[in-house]
Amino acid sequence: MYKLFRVRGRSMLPTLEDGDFVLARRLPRRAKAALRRDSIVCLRHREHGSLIKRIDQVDAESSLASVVSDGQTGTGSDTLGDIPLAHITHVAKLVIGRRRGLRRL
Amino acid sequence: MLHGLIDKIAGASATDVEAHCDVPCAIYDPAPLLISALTVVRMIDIMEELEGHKPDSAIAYHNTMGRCVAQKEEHAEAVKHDVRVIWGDYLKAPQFEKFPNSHDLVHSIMLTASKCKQGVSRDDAVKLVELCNEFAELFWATKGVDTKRAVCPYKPSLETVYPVL
Repeated sequence: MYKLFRVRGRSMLPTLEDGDFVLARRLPRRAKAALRRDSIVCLRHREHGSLIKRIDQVDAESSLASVVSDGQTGTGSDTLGDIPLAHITHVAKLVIGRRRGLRRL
Repeated sequence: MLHGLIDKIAGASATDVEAHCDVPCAIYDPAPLLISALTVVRMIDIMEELEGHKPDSAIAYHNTMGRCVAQKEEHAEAVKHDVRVIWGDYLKAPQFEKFPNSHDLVHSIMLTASKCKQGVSRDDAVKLVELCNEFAELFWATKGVDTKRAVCPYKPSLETVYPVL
């Protein structure tokens, strides 16, 4: 099941620009522990709501993932904390960029 | 082009995911939105000048006109974005109490910027600059910084608010 997301903000520059659309595939529970480093994922954060971040590391044992931003000013797990895999909902597959057109992630 | 198509067909149903600068960096300044508002006026001026002095080539005319329309659209949207960030991220309850007109002012800026996108009225664009000036004065007042008004040293040569630092 795929879902369309719209990126708000610039913390994922240069990969994703403000206003870009991202087509992302829903992650089945069993696939979350197999998430690969550098995947771009959509997740729910308790304080910050719906976020888009890049996977840094996945610890299948603790079911936690650490995430990073691509942009210099964006935050990652150092500020957000580790993300429970259950809160990672989608993995981004395709970007429909405002300026750079269609790209595969 | 594809982005525009997706926006029309499915944009309303897309879910927003935040990739905002969430450090937070605490760097807020109304200068960019003032420059954007001045740019909207300038684009309308250039469009009017172009209409009065059409180049021989229709292609050149449409090219310049198209670029001006695109820039007007982009900068009016930038005004809305930048005002929204300061209003949403920086202004908090104490400022809202001290400046109770801030919500109405922000709403007026949103409406006027949209008018500037829809049309080519110079009066609307000048009004947008004035509203942004008032917003800049409000912003600097929250920081206890004095401001002055001076005519910007470039076209469209309109009165603009600057902080006195």
